[in-house]
Amino acid sequence: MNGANTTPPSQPIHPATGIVVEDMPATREWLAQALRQAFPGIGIHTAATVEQARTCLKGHASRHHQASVLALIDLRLPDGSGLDIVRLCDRQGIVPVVTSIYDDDASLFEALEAGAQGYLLKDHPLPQLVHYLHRIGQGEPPLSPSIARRILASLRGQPEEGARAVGDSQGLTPREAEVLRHIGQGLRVSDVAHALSLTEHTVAGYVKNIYRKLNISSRAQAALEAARRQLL
Amino acid sequence: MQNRLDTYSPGTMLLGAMLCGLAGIVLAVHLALSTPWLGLTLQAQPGQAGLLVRHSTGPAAAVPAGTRLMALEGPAPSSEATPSRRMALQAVDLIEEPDLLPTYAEVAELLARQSALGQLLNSGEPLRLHILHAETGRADVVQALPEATPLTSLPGVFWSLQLYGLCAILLGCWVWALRPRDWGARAFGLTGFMLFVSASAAAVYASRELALDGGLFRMLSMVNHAGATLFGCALIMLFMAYPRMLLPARWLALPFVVYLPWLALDSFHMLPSPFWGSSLIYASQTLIAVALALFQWRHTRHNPVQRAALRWMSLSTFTGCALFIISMALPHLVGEMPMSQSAAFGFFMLMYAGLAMGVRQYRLFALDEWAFRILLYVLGAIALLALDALFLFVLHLNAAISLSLALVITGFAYLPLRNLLWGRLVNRQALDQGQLFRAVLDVTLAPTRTLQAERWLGLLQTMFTPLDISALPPAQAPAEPEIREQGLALALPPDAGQPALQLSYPWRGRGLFGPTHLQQARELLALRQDTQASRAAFERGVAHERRRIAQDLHDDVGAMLLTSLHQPDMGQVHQTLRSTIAEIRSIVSGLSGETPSLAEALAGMRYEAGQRLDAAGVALQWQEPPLPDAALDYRIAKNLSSALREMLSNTLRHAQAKAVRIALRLEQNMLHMEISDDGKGMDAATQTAGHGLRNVQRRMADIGGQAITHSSAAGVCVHLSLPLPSVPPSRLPAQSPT
Repeated sequence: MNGANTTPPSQPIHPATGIVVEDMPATREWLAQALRQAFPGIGIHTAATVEQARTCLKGHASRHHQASVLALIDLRLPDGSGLDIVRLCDRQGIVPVVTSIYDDDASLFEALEAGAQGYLLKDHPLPQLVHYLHRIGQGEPPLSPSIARRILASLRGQPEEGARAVGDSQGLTPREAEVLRHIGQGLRVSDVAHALSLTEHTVAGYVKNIYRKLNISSRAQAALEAARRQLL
Repeated sequence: MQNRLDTYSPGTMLLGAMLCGLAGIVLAVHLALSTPWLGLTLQAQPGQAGLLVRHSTGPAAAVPAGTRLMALEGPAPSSEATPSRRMALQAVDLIEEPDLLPTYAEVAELLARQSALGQLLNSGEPLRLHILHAETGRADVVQALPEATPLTSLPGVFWSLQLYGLCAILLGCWVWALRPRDWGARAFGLTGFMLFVSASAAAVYASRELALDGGLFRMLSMVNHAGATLFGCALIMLFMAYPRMLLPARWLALPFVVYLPWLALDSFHMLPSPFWGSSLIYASQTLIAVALALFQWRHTRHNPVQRAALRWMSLSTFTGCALFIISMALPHLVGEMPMSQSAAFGFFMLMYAGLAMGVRQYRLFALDEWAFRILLYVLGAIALLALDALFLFVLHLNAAISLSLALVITGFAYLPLRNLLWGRLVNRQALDQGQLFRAVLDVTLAPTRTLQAERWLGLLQTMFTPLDISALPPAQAPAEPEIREQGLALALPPDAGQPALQLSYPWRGRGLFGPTHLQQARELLALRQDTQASRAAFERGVAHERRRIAQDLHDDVGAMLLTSLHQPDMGQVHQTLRSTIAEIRSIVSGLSGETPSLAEALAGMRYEAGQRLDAAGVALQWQEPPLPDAALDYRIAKNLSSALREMLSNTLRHAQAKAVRIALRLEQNMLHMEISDDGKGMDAATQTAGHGLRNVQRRMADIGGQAITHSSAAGVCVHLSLPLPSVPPSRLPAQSPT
């Protein structure tokens, strides 16, 4: 586990570079356009396969300040799963965002566990997609109710073991749990803020924390699992 | 036809018959050893006085081979009153079969001579053997004291006759045990038994060294004769009953009615000559059997299968009989000594060997290859008993083995080995409850019907190890498991792609079906039915789900794609396509198998609505009272969310609203959802013809609800109401979707 690379974007980022990993050319172009609209002046690299994406990321590992790179990654690529790229990005400190057409809980949750900072559906209208990208740039990833319920169950289900392994950082605080519960009921961040008498910014901060904890927890679980299988 | 014997399993019957046979052999051995022994191997030379000594050992070892034994002389009489006890020997003393003598007087004389010789041998005193050296013509006397006959002195003739008899019992009773109520099989079994009786008795006197007690000789001869006559009667009976019953069953007694008195007359020497009492009987019986076989031939002319069986039966039977008669009678007719009985009886083995082959090729007595398995079992069991006997015998004989060593050998080597063999032979493999359940599941979950039928057979085979499983015609199919044929068979109703089945001869013919097994069979079928019902339910579920997907794809996705195809405005096309993708998601989420709770479904709707309205800059006000956490039917969740999606599409497209309010209420199992906007309202035309609204109506009607639309200058308000079936509370609160 390489904890040094997991620093979440704590302040708004303005990515200098965007990477689009998508196999459908029209959609690839459309996503690039969304990035350009959300972050004017951004440099775009594209990749159509896992292999191309790896090459692309290798190039970036040396050249750029990592936190300023944002990657939009499709999950189902011709030569493999986008999840591998998500993990690679996460390790390099690049901000990975999954763009998919499927929103089934299983693939969504897997992506978040792999370290995705957001999960966007490709059928959003362009303005809405741009809006979400903005929010992600500001450190406010979107979170659907079903995923919120899953995270709540997941982080609650395995408290002690994980806590011992990685410290106290990844158990949920009561506030975070409350935020998750509200989101699980379908409330938006603004609704949650209203319901809990907090500012939207604070609630967004909680959501960010929750993402990070889920990611750390999944890594800790992986490490524990590996230790259990005596791979380490 | 109730017969007590039917209540025993074929294995038991056959084993019992074999044990009878073995007991008979033991008796024969005992009788054969009852007369003391000199140690001579003698040969009769017709036309010459005395008997040729071919070999000598034991008490008379001093008699050189090649000499002639002329007479036996007992010790000097104690008083002058008794006549000299010297017996001159004649060729007739060694005759194997007294029935072949021409007159009863000669038979009586032979028996008298045998008694006299027997008395000499039994006297317990040294005998004087008068011998004549053939080359030199010199007479000589050797003293010898007869001893108890050793077992090893019994000649090969004796053992081969016993073996033939045992084979005849084994094969005869084999057929009878498997078809105990078939007259043909009964007759065949009787031939085997009678052949054994006849051969076993003949073996005792045919293999005598020189003499037997006359009384014993006569009795054995009568037994032999009776056995042979009854064998003939059974043969007649066989061809009366097989392959077809030519006459009603009571007529089968006729041969016995005729021949038993005849036999009695012969036994009391009341017939003109032994020929009348033996050869004539046998010949007439054989002729009658042949005649009956010809009748059978005519009767089976329309049944080639029976005819083939008859041909084979007749061929093997009459070949055996004919060779026997020729071998016994022909030398006699031409004045030669008849050939040894052992070889003659060997011809009957043709009959039984032919039968065994016929079972395989022609399904004689409706038996098949499976019938051989029980034969193997009985042979195995007999071999094991023989092993026991041998073991005891060796232990008993070998004085070097002390008692303690014998116990050690018995305890540590013999008994475990024996148990192992016995276990292999007799073991009934029973399935325990868990194995049974798994096996039944395997049957039920078989991917194809053929495989299912195969596995079902396999399971029945494992459970009951029947020798035979055959399909029953529908007319004989039972409604539930039934024991048939006095426990020999179990009939099962049709199941698992198999017709009604009859399992015959359970445990490889070693057991019978009893009430316990009937119960087992019932449970097995019940288990099958339960699992089959579950599978059917599962398959119904799968089919239902397929129908659902097909219907949803057609009704929703198809209709929306068609709509977008006909929409001129690209913006509208995009909008419709997005809705279509959202519909696909709803359809797919129904596949995950998780029925959403009411709260979860509403959370999803609220999130989607919030996202869409947010993106369009429209405020959402969602009012939701605390709702019971109830499971929600997929159809309701799907239709409600689709209806809401379409209404919001309408609002976004037409209303120019700033805010949307969605309020929920639950009243007496009715869910009310009120969607109101602050837009410009609808004109009358839109209200009636709006496609979106019509869809909303349809969707609500589909789940038993309704949609009422009010439009005013202050905006549009749609009131949805639908009944929630009183569902049991869902498993857990919404926080734990796993």
